[in-house]
Amino acid sequence: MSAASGDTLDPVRRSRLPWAAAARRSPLLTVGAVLGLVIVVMGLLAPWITPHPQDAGFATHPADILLGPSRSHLLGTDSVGRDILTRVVYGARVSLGITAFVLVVSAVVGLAVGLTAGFVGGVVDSILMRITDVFLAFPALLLAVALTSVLSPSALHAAMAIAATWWPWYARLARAQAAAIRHQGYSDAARVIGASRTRQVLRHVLPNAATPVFVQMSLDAAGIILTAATLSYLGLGAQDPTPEWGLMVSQGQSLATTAWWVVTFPGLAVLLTAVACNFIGDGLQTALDPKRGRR
Amino acid sequence: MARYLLSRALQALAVVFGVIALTFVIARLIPGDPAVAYAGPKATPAEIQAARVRFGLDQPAWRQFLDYVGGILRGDWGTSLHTKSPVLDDLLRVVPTTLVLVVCALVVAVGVGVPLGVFAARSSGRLGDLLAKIFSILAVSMPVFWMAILLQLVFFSHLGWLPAAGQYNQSLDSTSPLFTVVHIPVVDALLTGNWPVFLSAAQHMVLPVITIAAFPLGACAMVTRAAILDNLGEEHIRMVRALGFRERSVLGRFAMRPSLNPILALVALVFAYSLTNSFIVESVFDWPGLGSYAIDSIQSLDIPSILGVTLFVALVYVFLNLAVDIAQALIDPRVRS
Amino acid sequence: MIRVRDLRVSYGGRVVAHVPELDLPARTVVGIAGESGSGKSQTALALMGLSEYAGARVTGSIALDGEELTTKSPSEWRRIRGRRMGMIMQSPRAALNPTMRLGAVFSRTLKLHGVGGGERASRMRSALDEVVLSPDILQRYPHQVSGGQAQRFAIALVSALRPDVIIADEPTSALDVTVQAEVIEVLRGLRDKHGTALLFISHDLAVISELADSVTVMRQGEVVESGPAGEVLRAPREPYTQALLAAVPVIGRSAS
Repeated sequence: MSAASGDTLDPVRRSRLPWAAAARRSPLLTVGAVLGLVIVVMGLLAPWITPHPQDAGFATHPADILLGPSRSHLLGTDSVGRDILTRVVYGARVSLGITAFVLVVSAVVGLAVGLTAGFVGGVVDSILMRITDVFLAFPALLLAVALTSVLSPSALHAAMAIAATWWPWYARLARAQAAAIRHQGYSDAARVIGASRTRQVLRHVLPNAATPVFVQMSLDAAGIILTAATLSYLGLGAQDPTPEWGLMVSQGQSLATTAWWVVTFPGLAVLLTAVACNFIGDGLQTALDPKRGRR
Repeated sequence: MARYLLSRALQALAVVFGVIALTFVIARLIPGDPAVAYAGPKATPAEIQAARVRFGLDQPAWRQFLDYVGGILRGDWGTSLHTKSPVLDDLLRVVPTTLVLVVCALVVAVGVGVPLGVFAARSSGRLGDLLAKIFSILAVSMPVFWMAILLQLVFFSHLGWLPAAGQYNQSLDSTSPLFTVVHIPVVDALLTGNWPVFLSAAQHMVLPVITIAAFPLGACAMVTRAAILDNLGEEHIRMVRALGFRERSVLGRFAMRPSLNPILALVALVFAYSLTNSFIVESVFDWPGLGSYAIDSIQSLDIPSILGVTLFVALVYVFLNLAVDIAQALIDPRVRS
Repeated sequence: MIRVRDLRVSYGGRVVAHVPELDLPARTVVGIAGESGSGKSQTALALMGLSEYAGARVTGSIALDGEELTTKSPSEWRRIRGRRMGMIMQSPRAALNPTMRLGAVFSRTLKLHGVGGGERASRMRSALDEVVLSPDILQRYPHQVSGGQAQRFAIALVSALRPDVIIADEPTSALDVTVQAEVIEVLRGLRDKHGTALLFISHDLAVISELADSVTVMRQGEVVESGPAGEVLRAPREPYTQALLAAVPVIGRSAS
């Protein structure tokens, strides 16, 4: 780029943009944010807005088995007569809970490892990054299988397995940021005035690493939701009667030809949630990185 | 160049060692005694002890680890509990069948995704770009298991256009018997010129390939678009425009070449991802490859097989990354120095 | 040769460069001076028909030998760019594709402009001779050559097509002083030998004073002063030009 001369390509200065400007640049950001908000709010308000809250648990209604979508059951009922709309809405709680858990755990672990590697450098850096590579090479699905055979299959253990394969991405990202910042000499001034290393990391390196990490988190949320759903679909995550979307699809799979709604709507919920996260992540990236977003 | 490659190869080796060590740790953590599992439920204590000695379980942990590493290097990946045959033999048998699916899917993904990304970059900021982006995001957001089931539901159950499961229509065996060459029907049919079976096999591949291709296709399109846009702002692009090159070669050659590295890196990444995705796809479409083997192993809690599959996928990932590093060094001379 | 009247370059309605009048006859060097953001580079892009790729809109008139350029279609522009008008960039190495050998870029360019396979090697060699480069450089990648070599290569590449006009946008700003002198010498040689008209853009009046026959000074998108180089540099009327001149070291001024 010709930032040095400054007057060549893009005379309209663009730095950090306020939300409104970001939304204008990327219509998908708005769509994603609205969709994401709707899903979160629906999950939070599930007990009050769902027509049959008791169906989120062990309820059975032998009279209502496999009813197609109708006015009383907008998305139909499953093989034991539970209202699918209710279960899909409750499912948002499970998926978002797992996602939040994985994001927090892997961001914290990844940042700690990556910042240490990038900031200390040398042998420590090499060793930490090789360990990171090892975990990166492990397929999440198979690590989850191993973990659930040590422990028992549950939503929490699935989330732990996903976190175990997800933190390396944050470690790499944070390391790159820390190393770049270290070399740029951002914190040289701080070193001169005698600030301690910890203080440097907290005050100078961490805030600079936070922006790309945040973009990464929103894009990752989509991947985590998909992986979590896949694990439950395989029976390695949440167990019945938890209203987990992937589990619901697997429960409906054998009935798909006669009762399409049982598999269709929970899967659609996974798709829409993943799309919302990706829209938000992509929009943020466009807004924060003018180079990518430019015409 | 040679030094760079050597250091990358050593790094890869270290990671391979780490991966093996991690599978070993997982194997030790798993509750239950493998000797009991091997000897069977009715075994006497003496038989269990014999099995224990046989597997070296009476040795100290470090000794067991060395034996484990040595075994893996020699090709002894343990014995599958559900097939009762050596895990490595099982893997070598099922992997080619899966590779047919995954490679076809990646060819589709790159063949459609890269041009889509070029198109998006070209119409950047306009409607075409937005539509391409929505399509790509939908593709990467698809839950694989759900997409597989829905495709089956629509194209088999409702429309009846495509078969639901299997590798080919086995009723063709009576009219045009298939000679096995490499034990992959679609390849065997092609090699022996058995067109009825080849056609059937190709039809059976359409839905699984589309399902596996979805994610890499969307990812390819987005990475290609971003890489090209990154380059379009560069001075060397303005230079070739100023030299009079047409926009097609500006994008397709001069902006594309420096963009190949991120695309290559992505392909390596999604290859490993697609292997794990094939687990789901194969079980839905009843395709007898690595995925079905993995699912069978998972359902019968067959730890040696699960670890074998894990190790295999991890090794593929490590070696692909190494291959990409080498390829990138060849494409972009800046990487070497 | 080139005749510009009432040229305006704008981004989303905001005018970033306005040039009421600019003439560039054959065998002359016209300098455009100004700080960054003065609109001089935007003017250069507009003259090459490259503004729209940066998202800008161009109005007014640019004529090349009496032929109006602002109304040209992309395919008509392609027959003008390279062949009749060439451009040299500020950062010489960034202006060359990092993944291609210099020779590959050069021979593709010659091929594009209809130079046959047999003739290409000799054309490349003679163009490199003029800028005092050895043909070995064709085997190298941009990151393997120095900034001065890369800039001389770019000049060889552009001048091998024998354009009537070369627009040089800050061609020496990224180079150190001794290398600057070499590049200026090469450009002077082009004008003397082939009669190429040169539009020389720089923030550095000292460099402009070495070559230019006339000077246009721009500030914040507007032309503040223009005239024969001797007059403008010796007796600047505008305070802005005076300030620019004051920033020039004394050695530079004595060169004019």
